[in-house]
Amino acid sequence: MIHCPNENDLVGLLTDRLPGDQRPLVEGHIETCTACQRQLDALTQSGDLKLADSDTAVERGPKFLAKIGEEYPETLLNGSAVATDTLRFPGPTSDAAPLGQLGDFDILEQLGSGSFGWVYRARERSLNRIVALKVLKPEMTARPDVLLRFEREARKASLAHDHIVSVYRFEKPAGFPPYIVMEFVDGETLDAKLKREGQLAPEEAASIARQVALGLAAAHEHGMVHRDIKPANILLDKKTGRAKISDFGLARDVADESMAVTQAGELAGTAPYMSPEHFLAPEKVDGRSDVFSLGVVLYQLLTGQLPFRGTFLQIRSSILDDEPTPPQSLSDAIPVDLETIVLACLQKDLHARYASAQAVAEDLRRYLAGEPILSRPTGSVERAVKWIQRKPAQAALVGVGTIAILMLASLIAGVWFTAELAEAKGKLESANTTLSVAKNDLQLTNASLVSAKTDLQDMNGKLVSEKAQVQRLKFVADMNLAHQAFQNDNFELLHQYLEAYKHSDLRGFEWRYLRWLADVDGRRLGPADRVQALAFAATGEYLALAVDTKAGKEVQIWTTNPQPSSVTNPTRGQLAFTVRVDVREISDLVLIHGKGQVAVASADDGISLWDFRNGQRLHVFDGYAPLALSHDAQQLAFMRMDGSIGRHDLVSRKEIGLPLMFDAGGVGGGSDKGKGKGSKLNEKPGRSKTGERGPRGGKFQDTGLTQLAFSPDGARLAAVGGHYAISGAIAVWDLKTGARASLEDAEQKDVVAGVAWSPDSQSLAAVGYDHMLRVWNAKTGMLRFRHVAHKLEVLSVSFDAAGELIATGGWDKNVKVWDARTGEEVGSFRGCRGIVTHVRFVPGRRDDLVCLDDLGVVRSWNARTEQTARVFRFDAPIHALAFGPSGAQLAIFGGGSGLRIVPTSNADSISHGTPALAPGSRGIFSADEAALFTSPVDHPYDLSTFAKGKATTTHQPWNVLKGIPVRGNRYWMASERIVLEKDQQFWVTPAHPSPESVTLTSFGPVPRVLPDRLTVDASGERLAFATFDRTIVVRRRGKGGQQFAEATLRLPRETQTVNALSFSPDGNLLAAGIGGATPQDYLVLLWDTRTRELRHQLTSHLCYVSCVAFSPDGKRLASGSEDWTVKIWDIDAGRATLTLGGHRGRIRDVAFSPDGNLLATASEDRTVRIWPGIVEAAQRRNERPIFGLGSMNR
Amino acid sequence: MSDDLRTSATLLRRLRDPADRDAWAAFAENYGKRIYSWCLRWNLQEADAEDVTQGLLVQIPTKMRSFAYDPKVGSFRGWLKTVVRHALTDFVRALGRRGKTSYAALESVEAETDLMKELDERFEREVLEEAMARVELRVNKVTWDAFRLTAIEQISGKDAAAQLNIPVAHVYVYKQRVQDMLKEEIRKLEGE
Repeated sequence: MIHCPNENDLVGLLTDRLPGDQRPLVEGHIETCTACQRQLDALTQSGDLKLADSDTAVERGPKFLAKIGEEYPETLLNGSAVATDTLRFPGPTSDAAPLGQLGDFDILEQLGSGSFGWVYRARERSLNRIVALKVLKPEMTARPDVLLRFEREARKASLAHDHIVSVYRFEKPAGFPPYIVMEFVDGETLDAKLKREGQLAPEEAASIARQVALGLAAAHEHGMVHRDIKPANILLDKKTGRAKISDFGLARDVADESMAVTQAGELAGTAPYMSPEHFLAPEKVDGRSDVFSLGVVLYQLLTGQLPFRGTFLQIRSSILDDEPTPPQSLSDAIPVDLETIVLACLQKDLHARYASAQAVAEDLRRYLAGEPILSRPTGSVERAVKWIQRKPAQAALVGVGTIAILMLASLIAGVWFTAELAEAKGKLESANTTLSVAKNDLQLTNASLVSAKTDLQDMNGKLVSEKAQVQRLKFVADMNLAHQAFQNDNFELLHQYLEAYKHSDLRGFEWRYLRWLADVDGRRLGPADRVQALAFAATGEYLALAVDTKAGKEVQIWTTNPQPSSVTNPTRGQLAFTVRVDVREISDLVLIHGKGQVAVASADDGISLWDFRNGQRLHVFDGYAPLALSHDAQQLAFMRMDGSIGRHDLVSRKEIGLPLMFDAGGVGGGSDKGKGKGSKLNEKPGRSKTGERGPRGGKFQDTGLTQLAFSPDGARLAAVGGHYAISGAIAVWDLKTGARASLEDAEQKDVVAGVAWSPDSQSLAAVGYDHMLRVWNAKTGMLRFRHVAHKLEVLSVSFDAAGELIATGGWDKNVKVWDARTGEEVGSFRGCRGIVTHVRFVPGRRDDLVCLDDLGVVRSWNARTEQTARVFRFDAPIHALAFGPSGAQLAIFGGGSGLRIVPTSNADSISHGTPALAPGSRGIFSADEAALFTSPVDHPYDLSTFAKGKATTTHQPWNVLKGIPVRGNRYWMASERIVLEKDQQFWVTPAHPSPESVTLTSFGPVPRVLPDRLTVDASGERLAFATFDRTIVVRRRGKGGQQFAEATLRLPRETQTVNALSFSPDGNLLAAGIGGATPQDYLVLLWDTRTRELRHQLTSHLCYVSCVAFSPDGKRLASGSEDWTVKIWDIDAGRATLTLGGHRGRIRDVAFSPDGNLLATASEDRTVRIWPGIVEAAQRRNERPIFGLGSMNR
Repeated sequence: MSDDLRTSATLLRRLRDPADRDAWAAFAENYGKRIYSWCLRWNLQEADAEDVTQGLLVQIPTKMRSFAYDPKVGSFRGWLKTVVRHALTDFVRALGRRGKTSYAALESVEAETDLMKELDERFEREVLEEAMARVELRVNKVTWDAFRLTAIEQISGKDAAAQLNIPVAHVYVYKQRVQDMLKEEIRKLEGE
């Protein structure tokens, strides 16, 4: 193209509207035409985006701002306005009325102010009594909602109660804001008392809580819910000691729906005290919500802290999902009964909570009077029976008393539950009535007796199923607690929870996943005795451990697992040789495996060379740790007596070349500066102190070196540590010339503790006491990158065999894995219980790591497996996943190149051919796994086949054979089936590569279907899709002559939208991931497809639910959300058993592997995570052999 | 999880959460700078400027809490203006009642408009940063880099193309694409 394209064409190019054939021409022209480039500059001006940061132009703010930022203003904490504001009263001031007068009132003083108004102490002249005046702020009178709230509080006047602040009347004078005249309570708020005293004695706390409960009970009786119970709203009368509830401003009249002050979705209340239902449906709360808030207050009074803390969102999610820490674990002084009462108030399930404030008051009274309380932490048969007996219905029970109680006693166990029992009780009462009528009637017939008996049997069955449900809920709660225990690093507790359900049928994916997590701690390698040092053979097949046993020092040679490590099976080893070494201490060792030798450094006994097969000592060198072995296993380097470094030939045992020297000033550690640092170095665990005297009595010059390392090409030797490195340098000798170079970073002020060469000898990684990881170009001496790697001193560093990853570990007990190229963190491992002294990648092995801590424990794991999941990283967001039917491979859609096939069992990942697909493509494997079908974009029907581990795409138009046009169709894939739209009809066919297998079944006309919201069940009998008019249509394949049957499912709320659909394996349930306009819309809906009944509304996600998938056994459902989490739901319980965090972006797809042991999740954070569950022994026996991609065609 | 979610809400929204201390610190730093330079521009002594800055910093979040934001009534930005106006008026009046009349100038319409402009600019920047963070997550690296180099670092399209090893035309297409996404994201953020 010679002429410049016109502006229209350029705009077309920018907006992707240029015809395809013109594009290359225009692009080619632009490549060289500066005029066009200028025009494009103009066209793509960022305009009103203002991308240049004007803030950088403004100079840094004055210092006082930083100070303000550090201190959170107290006034903001309690929500009150700055107290500079006040009010002028109409009447003149006088001695009797220092602040002025208002009608019948002399205003005496201001008591406080809030965001809505002020409170004054005043004298009511006509009655000569002291009152409190609550005046609304003038600007608030313009807000109808505030005014309404204010008037509501005033209306509470009808409520006269000892424990509620009395309201006398409400005034709305002209020319002055409205105000409330109320009882003046001379005292302080509970909040002030709590702030002053920290926490209260159990008796006092119980007494105050009981009074509040009594006040609440009275309010509830009058149909008022307070909705904002918190210490700041409870007043303590100085004279009478009475506690009184104030501020009914948020109170809601239960009976008067039109008076809902808060609109749906708007939260009023104070987050840490709000009940779960208050967050979810604020307009619907009843008195039990106040019971929850009271529970929070009592908790705070007893323990001095809030049960749910954090930011608003953290509080919200804790209140919805987390069990509070039991008060007793915070303070032993808290009596069990009070703890029971608090926890019963804090039950998230309305039915498990106290049914009324009255019930709370009664239990608190019993506690204070020393009587047994009614609520129980975990029910027992005895308690359940007592509970029944105590209820007013007890008289009614007498008729069938013994039978009923015995029956209940035999049935009820497990948990304290109310609703179930209440319902059962109701049934019992009615049965009982029937029975007593029958009994009193002398004309009683046999028939009615029989029917009564049947009734009782029915109830029996009902109670059995209710008991099962209670046990299920307990299981769900325990699994959530188990996960929390893991997050708190409490492995012991985690194991306890898991053991409790070891043989239970209730277990699902969450149990197996948590069990896998629990193993993180247990993936120990090597002996139970304390390990002091470790060294790998160059091939990585053998590992030498210096072990401190009761009998003495040993070197143990272990084989490492030759199988590549996998998601579920980390490296484990076996003991091959043991050699007793007659030394007092082992500070370092190297393994010369080809020769069957091991060299051991000891502070007192020199460096000894042993044959580990026969236990003979072969030679002793004069010298000290650290040791280094050249990669050809010919040379041993170590520190000589004079502090220089010597090298010895391992065959001749003669010294090679001249000793490698440091600068004169660096040797000997004589400077004061050196001593200071040296003492810190000696704190390094796992390394013995070097003595003043050498092994043979000579004077020893300690240079405090921590590590020596030969470069893999054998050309150089690096040394780091102690006194030499006060300047923070790494010494690198050229072994041919003996010349020493120094790698230095001006910023490095502290000791370099560990060093490692990259496999190509081009780079050096170093870590040190300044918490940093540095990577150097070893040739040029340039620093490649540096950044803070750990929170504390870093001691050890290692490169993996491919040179792609770097691992570091140190004082903070964490091991972290880094991308060697970019320095980006790719994973971390928290399993170590002690300070990490050694981190090593297994030589020649991909991704396998071992580490040693100062407790002497060696652990092994896979570097690409984060502690909680295995992570696959890509260049772009991932939007869909599909497991192959064997479970051996996973297709990943998105991530930059369209499609990747990843083996699920092997650590050697993401290496297979990947056909490029258009954005948004999805797909499934065929049932024989020989083909992958991908949904249409550019090519109407991509059929991919696999050969020798490579995926090749063939656009095989098999559909043509069946008369289906190649272009112009829409396709969907689910459950090994393809749904296509042809002739404005839905057709379903099995996904099989051979054209003969196409059997089209019609599912009727195509309405307007939302994209991707379509699914088929496993049998191909049912089709479900979401339409634009907010309904979900389920069509069932017709029988006989009938074509299909259709059912319509409506969404419960108008604001909801469908994001994803999935059938349960048996097709009887349909799950829908829901989003919408309000937080109440973020849930999963679960329908019974046979009855069309909405079985569950699964709530607890904080944002859109974007994907859903059933586990293969149909007992669990996984849901992914835009809140970045994935949840596992127990379908029968309707509760989340597990919440998986870790993704850093919206979740786009979730999928279970066919055996149900792996869960894969895809996210916009450009990663796919595989969450493994432990494979149980019973399952393993039936396990199909796993084929890699290479064996696919066999 | 909540921690992560928190980062994807603009600072001023976070400020409404009393437990979010980080939000407060960032607010004091970012907005305090603007208010302080505004005070100096309106001829306040340094000590007085510090007083006023601190006072307004506290007053703004206070007002944010007492005026609930209702998306039905108007945009977040409009609401923010109302909040700042009330905060300023209340604060200056309170000072006046304490006998400090030297601040009366701050109450003038011009001063108010000027302050609004300062804070609005800062708010805009924040929304933009948030939008950029969200968009960066959604596009691939080359697309993002093309935008970053040309739009932010102001490198010519040709040089950017050489650096990224892609055709020059693509640089402009990517730049435009990211800018469109940014505008859309900003629209969403402001309307939220």
